[in-house]
Amino acid sequence: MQEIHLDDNATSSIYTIPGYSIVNRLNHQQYGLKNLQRQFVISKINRPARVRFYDKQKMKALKVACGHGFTITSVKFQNKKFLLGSGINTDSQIGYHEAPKGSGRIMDQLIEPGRIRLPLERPDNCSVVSMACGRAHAVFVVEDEGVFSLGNNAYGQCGRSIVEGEEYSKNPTINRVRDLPDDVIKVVCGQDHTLFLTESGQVYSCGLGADGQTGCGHYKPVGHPVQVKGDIEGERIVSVGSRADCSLAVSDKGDVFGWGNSEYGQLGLVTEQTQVNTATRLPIPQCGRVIKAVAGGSLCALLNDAGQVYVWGFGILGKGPKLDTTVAPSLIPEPIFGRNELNPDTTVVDIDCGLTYMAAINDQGDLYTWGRNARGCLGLGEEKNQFFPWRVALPAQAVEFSCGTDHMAAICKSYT
Amino acid sequence: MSRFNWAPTAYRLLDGIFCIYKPAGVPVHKIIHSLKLNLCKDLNALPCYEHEIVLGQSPVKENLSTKSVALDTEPGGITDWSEHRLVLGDRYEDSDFNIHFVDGISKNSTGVLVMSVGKFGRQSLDMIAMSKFLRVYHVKGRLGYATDDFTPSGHFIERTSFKHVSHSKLTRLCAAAQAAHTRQMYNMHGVNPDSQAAYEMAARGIIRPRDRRTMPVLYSIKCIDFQPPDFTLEIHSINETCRYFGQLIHDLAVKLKSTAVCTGIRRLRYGHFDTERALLRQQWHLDDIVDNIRGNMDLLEPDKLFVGTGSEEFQRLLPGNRQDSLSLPGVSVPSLNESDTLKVLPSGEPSDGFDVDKLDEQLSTTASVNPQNSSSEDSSSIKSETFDSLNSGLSSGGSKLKSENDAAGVAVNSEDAGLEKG
Repeated sequence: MQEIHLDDNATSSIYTIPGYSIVNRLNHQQYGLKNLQRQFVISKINRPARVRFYDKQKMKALKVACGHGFTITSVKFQNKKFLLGSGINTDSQIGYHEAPKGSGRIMDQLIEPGRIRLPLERPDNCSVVSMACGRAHAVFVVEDEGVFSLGNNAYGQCGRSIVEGEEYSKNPTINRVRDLPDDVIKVVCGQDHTLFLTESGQVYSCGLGADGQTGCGHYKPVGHPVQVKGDIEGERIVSVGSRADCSLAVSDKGDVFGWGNSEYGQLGLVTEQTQVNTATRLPIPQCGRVIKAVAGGSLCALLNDAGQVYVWGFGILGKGPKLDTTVAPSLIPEPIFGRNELNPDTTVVDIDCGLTYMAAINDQGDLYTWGRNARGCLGLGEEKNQFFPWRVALPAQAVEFSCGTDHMAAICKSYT
Repeated sequence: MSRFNWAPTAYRLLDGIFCIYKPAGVPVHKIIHSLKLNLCKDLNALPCYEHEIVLGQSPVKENLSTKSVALDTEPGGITDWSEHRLVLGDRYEDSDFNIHFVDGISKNSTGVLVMSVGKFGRQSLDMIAMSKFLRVYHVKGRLGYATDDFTPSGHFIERTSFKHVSHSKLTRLCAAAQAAHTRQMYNMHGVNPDSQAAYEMAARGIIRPRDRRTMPVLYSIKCIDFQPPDFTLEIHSINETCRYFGQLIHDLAVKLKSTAVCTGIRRLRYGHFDTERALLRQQWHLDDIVDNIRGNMDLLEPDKLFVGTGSEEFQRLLPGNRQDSLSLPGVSVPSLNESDTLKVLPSGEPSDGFDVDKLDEQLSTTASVNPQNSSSEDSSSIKSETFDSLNSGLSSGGSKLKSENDAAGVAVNSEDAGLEKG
C-alpha cells in the first residue's frame, strides 16, 4: 500500500504552507478511520492516497520512515518539532500509548499518528537527523541529544544488552544507545539489525548476526554497537543500506562494500558462500563512482554519480521478466526513468528498496516503483507485479520517500 | 535593410525548417499567406535582375561556387532588355513559396508552430512528422459553465457551482488520467505490460503511438495553477488536437461534478523546438527566417530526429545533407552514373532567371534515369509501375511517401526520398 495524498475537504489549508504537502503512510490493517457510522475501514489501498491527518492538524512532515506495518514521521507544528508514529505497535516500536490516560489500556496499534515521546532535554525541539525502522524496532538520531531506540531487542537491535524473556509488548522502555561516537549522522535498520554511520565515515552495527549482517566477524547477536570489520576499515563511508539481512556501504571514493547474506548472489562477485561476516569490497568498476547502494531481501541496487541505477541479486530486478537473477550489477536503461527529448538530462537522484521491490525518484520529482507488488505496495493502482520501473501517479512532486515491507510513504511538494 | 544584395541567393537559402510563434486569433493558413507576402516583399526589394546590380558589387563573387553565371566575360553593360523589372515585373510572387506546417493548432490557440519552406524543408518536415515529437501545452480552463464547443465563445449550455472543487481533487484527477493513458499506450501497441517486450519498448524511451492519426496520448498532466474559477494544466502529449483539449477540460470538470470551458491553449514546445527558437510576428521577414532555418539545421540530425520506438526504419531516409543524400547506408549502393546525374542538379540550379518549373522539368528527367538503375538492384520490391509512383510521389510529396510506407517497404521510400531531394 502506499502513501497518500489527497485530502477531501482541503480548503487550501496545506497549500497555504508554501511548499510541502504531505503524503504519508498507511499500512494494511489500519488506514483506519474511527469506527463511526457510515465509515468503513480501508484495509489496503493500491494507489497513492493523501494522509489527511497532517493537513487537518496543519503539520509539515519533515522526514518519514516505514517499517513492517508501521510508519514514523518527524513533523513540524508551529514552532515545535516532534515525532509521530502510526501502525502496528506490538513490540512498543512506536512508543507507549495509553488511552484514555490512566485506564491501563495500552494500544497495540494506532490508526492515527500518535506522538512518540523520547526522553529529551527539550522534548518540543526534536530535530531528527536520521531515523529508521526495522521489523519491530525503530531508531532515531536526534540532533545534540544522541541516538534513541524503541521496540524489540531480542537480538540486541536496539543497542542494549539482551534480556532473556523480556516482554516487549506494552513496554515503555526507550533506550538511549551508548557506546557510540557523538557524530552519528545516519542510522539504517535491517530486519533485526541496525547500522550506524558517523560523520567521520565509520560504521557501527548491532543486532542479529546470523547471516553476518553485523559484519563483525562472527554470527552471534551483538547487544552493543561495534565497529564493522573487514575491507571497510580505514575507508571513509558516506552511505549505508540494508533492508533485510544483507548490508552494503559506499565509500567517498565510490567503492561498494558488502557483508551479510549472499544466498541470492548479492555478494556473488566475491564469495561462493551464502554468508559473509566481514565487510568485503565488491569489484564493480563498470558502475562508475557509486553514491548510494541499497539492499533488499534478495535484490540490491546502486546509484552512481551519473544518475544511473544498477541492479543485481534475485527477484524482479526491473529489467523485464527475463532477467531474474544476476550476480554482476546490470544497468537499467535511463529512458525508463523519464529521459526523453523534453528532458534529455533527467537523472535518478535517490533510490530505496523494500524487501522485494524498489523505488527511485528522478530530478523531476517523479516516483518510479518496480518489483513484487505485495498488497499493492507499488501504488500502481493494481496488484500485479511490475517488471520494470513504472511511474507512480502521484499528484505532486516526491521529495522524500521510504519503502516499508508492504507499504510505502512519500513526502511530496505541490507542483504550484 | 536586408543583408542580402542579390535576391536569387536569398531565395535559394529559403529551404528548410523554421519555427514561428503563432499569435492567437489568426488561423494557420492566414499566417502562411502573410509569410508568403512578407517574403515576396523582402525579396522584391532586393536587386532581382542583372541590370539592378550595383556596379562594383559583382554578383559573380558570390556565385563563384555555382559557376553558372557567366557575367565575368561581360561585366560591362546590359544588352538584353527583355530581362528588366519594367518588362517582367516583380520577380517573386507568393506562389513561388512552398510553405507547409506540421501539427497545426486551432485559430484561438497560440504557441510554437513548425513550418517548412522549399523542397528540402518539406522533406524534413515529413521526417519531423514521423518522429512524433512530444509537445508541451499550457491549457487554461474556467470552471462554472459549459458551452457547446468547449470554448468561452460557444453557445451557453449550463451554469454550475464550483465551490467544492479543490486543488487537491483536481491534481488527483490529473494523476489518474495520466496513469490511465500510460497503461493505454501498451494496449494500443498490443503489448502485455508484464512481458519482456514491454520492457524493451520502455527501455527505448517513451512509448509513442505507432501512427500519426491515432487517438491522443497524454504523457503528463499537471495542474500548475489553480485560482478558482481559473486553472492551468501542463500537458505533454502526442497526436492531440485542440478540440481534444477542450473535451478533456470538460471531462475533468464533469468528474469534479462541475463544468468548465477551455479558455486558452498555448504550445510551449514541439519536441526540440521551443519558444527560444520561435519567431515572433514582427520577425516574420526574410533575414530572420533565413537565420532561423540555418539555426534549425542542428535539429535535423539522426539522434534528434528519430527518438523512440520505430525510429530505426526511418534512419535510412535521413538526409545527411543535400549533396550526400544518396550515399545512404540503407540504399543499395548508388552507381556512379546515378550519383553523377543527381549531383548535377544543385549546380544546375539556374542562378539567373531561376524558375521552379524549370527545376521540376529537370527533376522529372532525372527521375526517368533512376528507375532503370534501381530496378536492376532492387527489382523485387520495385515493380514496373514504380516509375509512375515515383513521378506521382514527386508531385504529391510526403503524403505519398507515407502511404507507401507500409506497402512497399523502405526500399521504395529511400528512392523516393533521394529523388525528391534533388
